[in-house]
Amino acid sequence: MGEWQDKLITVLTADTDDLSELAAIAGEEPVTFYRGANFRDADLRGQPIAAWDLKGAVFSQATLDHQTQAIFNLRHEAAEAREKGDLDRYFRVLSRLGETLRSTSERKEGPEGAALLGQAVETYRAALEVRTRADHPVHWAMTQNNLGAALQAQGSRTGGPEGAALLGQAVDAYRAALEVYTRADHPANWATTQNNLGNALRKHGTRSSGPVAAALLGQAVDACRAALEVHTRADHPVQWAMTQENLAIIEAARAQQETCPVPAPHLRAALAHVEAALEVYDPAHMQYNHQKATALRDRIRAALDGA
Amino acid sequence: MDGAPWDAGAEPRLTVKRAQERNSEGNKPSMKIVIRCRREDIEILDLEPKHPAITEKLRMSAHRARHIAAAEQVIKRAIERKGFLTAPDLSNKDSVVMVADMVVMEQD
Repeated sequence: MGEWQDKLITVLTADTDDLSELAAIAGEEPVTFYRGANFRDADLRGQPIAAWDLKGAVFSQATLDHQTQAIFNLRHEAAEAREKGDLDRYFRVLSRLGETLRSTSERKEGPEGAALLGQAVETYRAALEVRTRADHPVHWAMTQNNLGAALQAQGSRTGGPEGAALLGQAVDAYRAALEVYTRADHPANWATTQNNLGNALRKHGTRSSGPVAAALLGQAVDACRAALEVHTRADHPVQWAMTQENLAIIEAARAQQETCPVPAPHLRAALAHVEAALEVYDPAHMQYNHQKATALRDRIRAALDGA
Repeated sequence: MDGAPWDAGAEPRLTVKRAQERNSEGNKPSMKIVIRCRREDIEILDLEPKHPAITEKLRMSAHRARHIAAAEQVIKRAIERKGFLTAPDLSNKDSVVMVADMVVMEQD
């Protein structure tokens, strides 16, 4: 028999029911293998199909995960709105699709999560073409902020120079958002985006080295301090505490830089920030945050003892 | 393909009448036959294995439909790889599929 007939029999008789593994058995990439597939009557729950290119596939009577169904419905709705030229609806659907892809990716590891994040980034970029800065500045800034979050998540999951480049793009997206989200006109959005920018700069800084890393971490501190101008302890205690914790992480990272001649001042600053956060994190109601910050405080104390 | 396979020799579907003994160059006439159809006219679905072992294995599977879907994709990829498509994408219903391409000559 020919090669493809052998593959056919192997796929039909394989012990696995996993679509990714069946594609691998056929010697194909699952991401594109099922384009135009007929999934009639198939139970597709637990299969990473939302991350795949399934152009032309048929799903009549198929059973899908709730999130996958939501993503498919939004894609369909977006295509329909675009076809009809209803740009308001198209933008709204793209925003919801981007958020759904990003939130779904948070629960998925490996290639599936990475692919969903990549699609979220593409979706937000498509939305930016619909809502330009000139015509819809607030929508544009909101989308830049969402794009930054998706790029930051993608960059955090990606190693090496590619990951660092994605984090750099996240920084660019947050900075673009801040061109519209000014402190004077949009103080809450400005502060939130400053905090996001601080996080992205910190992650980008810890992936860098030498003076570049030192500069990025310094900018991260500036962004978080800016956020604290609006997110005060009195008015926004939880956001204030989270930004204090971020500052603690950044100062600890600065202390670890090879270009840092004297780490102790940064470690002392880090300790002060995390202790401030712990004053707000109630162990009874914010157990996760309290435990995380406590572990961070203990690591900083240990580093200070060794400094 | 719909319906049972047939013996092309015993039950020919097409007969061609020879118009002349030789063509203008004095050679025996030949004919190039190309059969094309649109992708949307070919549906590769409802694959039904005939081999008892495969049928039994699939009957036992909780996800028979997944195996069938993957197997149908193997067939489609084989069609694509054999160069039977004018567009490299069988998921596009407007693609043109070449069903047959042959040169027919009278044997001595």
